[in-house]
Amino acid sequence: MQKIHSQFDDKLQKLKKDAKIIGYILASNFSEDVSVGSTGTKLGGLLDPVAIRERFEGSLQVEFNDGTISKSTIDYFWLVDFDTKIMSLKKNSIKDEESKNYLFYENLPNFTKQFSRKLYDNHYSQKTELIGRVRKYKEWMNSLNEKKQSIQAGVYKSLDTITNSANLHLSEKQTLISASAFLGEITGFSLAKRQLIDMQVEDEYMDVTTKYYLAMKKGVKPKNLALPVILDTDAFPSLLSRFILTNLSGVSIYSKRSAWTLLDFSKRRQILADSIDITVKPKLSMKEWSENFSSIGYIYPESFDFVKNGQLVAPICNYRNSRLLNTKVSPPVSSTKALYFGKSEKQMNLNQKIASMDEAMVITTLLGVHTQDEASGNFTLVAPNTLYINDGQIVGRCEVMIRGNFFDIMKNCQTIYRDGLTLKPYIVTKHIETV
Amino acid sequence: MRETIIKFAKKLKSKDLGIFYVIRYTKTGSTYMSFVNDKLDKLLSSKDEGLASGCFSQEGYMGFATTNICDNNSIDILLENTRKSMSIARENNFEKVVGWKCLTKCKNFTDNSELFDEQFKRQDVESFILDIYKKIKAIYSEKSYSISLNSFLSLVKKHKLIINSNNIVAEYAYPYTQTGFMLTITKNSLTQSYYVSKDAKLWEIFNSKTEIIDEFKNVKSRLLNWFDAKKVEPGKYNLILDGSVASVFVHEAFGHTAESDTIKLESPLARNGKIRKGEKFTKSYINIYDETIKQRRSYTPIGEYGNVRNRTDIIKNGRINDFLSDLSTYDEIPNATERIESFDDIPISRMACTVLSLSGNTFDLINDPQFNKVQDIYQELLEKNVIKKTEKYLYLINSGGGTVLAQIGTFQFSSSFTYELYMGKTMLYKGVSFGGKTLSVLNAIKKGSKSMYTFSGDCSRLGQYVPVYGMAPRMLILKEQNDIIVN
Repeated sequence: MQKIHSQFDDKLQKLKKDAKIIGYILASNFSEDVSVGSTGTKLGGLLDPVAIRERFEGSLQVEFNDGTISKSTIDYFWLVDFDTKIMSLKKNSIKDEESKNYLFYENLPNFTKQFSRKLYDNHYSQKTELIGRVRKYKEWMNSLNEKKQSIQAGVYKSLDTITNSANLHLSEKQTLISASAFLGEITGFSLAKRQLIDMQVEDEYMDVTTKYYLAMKKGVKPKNLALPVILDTDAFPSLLSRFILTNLSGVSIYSKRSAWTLLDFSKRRQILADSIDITVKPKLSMKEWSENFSSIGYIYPESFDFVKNGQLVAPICNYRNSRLLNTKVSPPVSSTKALYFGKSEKQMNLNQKIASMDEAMVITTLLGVHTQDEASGNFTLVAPNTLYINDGQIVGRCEVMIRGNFFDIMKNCQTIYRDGLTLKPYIVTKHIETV
Repeated sequence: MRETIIKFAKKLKSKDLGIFYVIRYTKTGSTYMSFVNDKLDKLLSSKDEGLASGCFSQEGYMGFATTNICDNNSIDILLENTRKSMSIARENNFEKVVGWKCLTKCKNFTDNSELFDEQFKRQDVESFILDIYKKIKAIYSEKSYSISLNSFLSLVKKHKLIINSNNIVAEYAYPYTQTGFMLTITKNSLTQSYYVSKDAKLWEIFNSKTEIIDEFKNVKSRLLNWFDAKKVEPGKYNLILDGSVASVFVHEAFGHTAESDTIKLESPLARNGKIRKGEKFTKSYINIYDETIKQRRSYTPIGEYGNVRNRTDIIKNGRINDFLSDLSTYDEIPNATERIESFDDIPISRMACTVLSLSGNTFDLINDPQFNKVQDIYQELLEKNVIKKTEKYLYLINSGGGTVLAQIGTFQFSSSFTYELYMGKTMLYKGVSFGGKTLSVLNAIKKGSKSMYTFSGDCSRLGQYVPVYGMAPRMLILKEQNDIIVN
């Protein structure tokens, strides 16, 4: 499919003079994937067939000789009547100083990266592995007598290519295997790897999920609601995304919707406990979020700090927003999964923590986090799948409403880790009020 | 492209893919202009176009494949992938689908397909947005606070061509425009925002200018007073939901319980995967239905397998009546509610325009929270004996969105503003969250206004965003319930 990208490039080069183009950058992605799943007790069928897909898509940014810029998505159909389409781009071009890209003019090192070569070359042959995985989850759920099953597995292969008018050529090939299993709306897990999923890790997830699931089958009503709260590794990222990532966003800061201003970053304002760093490591080769460059050809650093020792360091800014705010370009944070928490006060197993607590609640799911006011950090949320702990044991499931202030919690909390499974900490706090 | 697709369909016939097949060609194009105050900030053009091919064997095994590369080689690969997919389903004895048998009853359909070529009128858009900006700036001109206005206008064009092995050709296009204005006020380092959006079929959107300005004018004191407003004490209250809260609530809390895959798994409307048709669900004056409306941006007259979409009366006179069926829940003729976001998505049952309507316990309402003072609305309610002066109500205005677990029936919603109505006086509070059991809200409905509110938005489910509409009374009166908590 490099061929389709080259056809675009050739046509653009030929048209440069006639269309008065002084620079362009072309980014494309070709993907092929196979997926299958199970809804209810049946495998495959109308909602989860073996789906075999291929897709070519991309973006084109063109600068004309009057200094205006035009941005558009591209696909295969663009090649039909290409000249007319390029000429029509001029109509939608605008003055956009912030988007003018150094890549139009500078030469950067060209490179090609490839992860998971074996999987990439034989991705379709993984269908047996996928079907086996879905069957395995089905059997596990059947053994729990749970009919409400939602299972998906897929293998996704992609080729990203970037070229520009200054002969830049970047490309990377990747393959991703994903699997997810949810028992009704109660509990479940998702896994994604650039290699075959480790059976031991999968078994560990199934064990933890089974424990949660069985506990949740039993409804309880705690007499005392003023208890320490543990935010689970699913509940915590949703709060993190709303209250930290939204406020760190360069767009929010520029439009003054963020809780913080640029001054807060230059003064290194303390926003979290000093034991917490928030760092993105975009180039880790075998992680699901791994990328070497952005769609405008910005080559990522190995590591980038947003928060260090609980203090603000840098906002999340793409090239355009960094020009608007006069700050550094950062890697994107499309998922909280890509974030690392550099330190923790204590590394311990959740089971040990639960065993050490007289009475507490584990919040596993939160509803409506996106409706909360990100700037103040205040939240009031329904937590429908909350585990009640009594005497060091998970006793059952209760539904509570919680309220508090995220920034207060993050200055007064303990972080603990589920060993070997995840980068995200559990947050233990007494600063959440339950109703 | 149309001719290429039809040629491709003929090619399918010789490939022995199965006894029934469907080819779906989907194209969505959009142009989007956004502004920061009076500066044109972004102008983006995007397009999503491609083919999906599905087939069913006599036994009901299904194959599915997609591509957006339409050269001869890729089309051959697409056919091969569809066949492979069906073979895997057969080899592994996957779930069988029998719903395709009913598709012989659908009809050829064409609507609006010439409208896909509608062009963006850039200068008109700039003048529309900048004029509104100037007027809003003049309304919010005091020096005690600062404002910023983020706005956009987009033109989205959808084109669909569906051909199936029963020689059915269904084709339609629908272009629509949407505009939105987010006013952010900063005062003493605190910020509060107010959002107004409108949508229309094409350039009728420009007629909404006066309404947009009037709404910003009316909410000025509400917005500025919000900074000094107190928080509501947590607890149980009599509630009044404005149309924005009620219409989103009906979509989230009840529309999703009626989608076919939820019915198959677990839904309050079903038992063992079958709808509890005829069972009493709520009060007899409550009706919930879903339909596609031509002038609305969720217009989907044809399901993704080529059948005409029918209106679904989910709750009729308080009783469970029907659900949003598709081929997966085939019984007789499905309502053809399956939709997709992009060409390569698997069709799933989705709402179009979900409506809550009351056939009794209604009242006339002249005032409207978007355009009138809350004190005037309260006065009107007292004069018409809709509520009593001695009863305390919380009036929730401006939906801030929410989430529902459809199977469990638990919800969380929020409003941006809250007014206490008590003893003839009104008091503004900050926004609230309210959560609890969805069915309790339906059973708590005492009265509703005859006039209806309409919302438009995008609904995300299983990773697919589709445009949706919702309608509900402009004002819904709810009696205090034990399992609905305001916080």
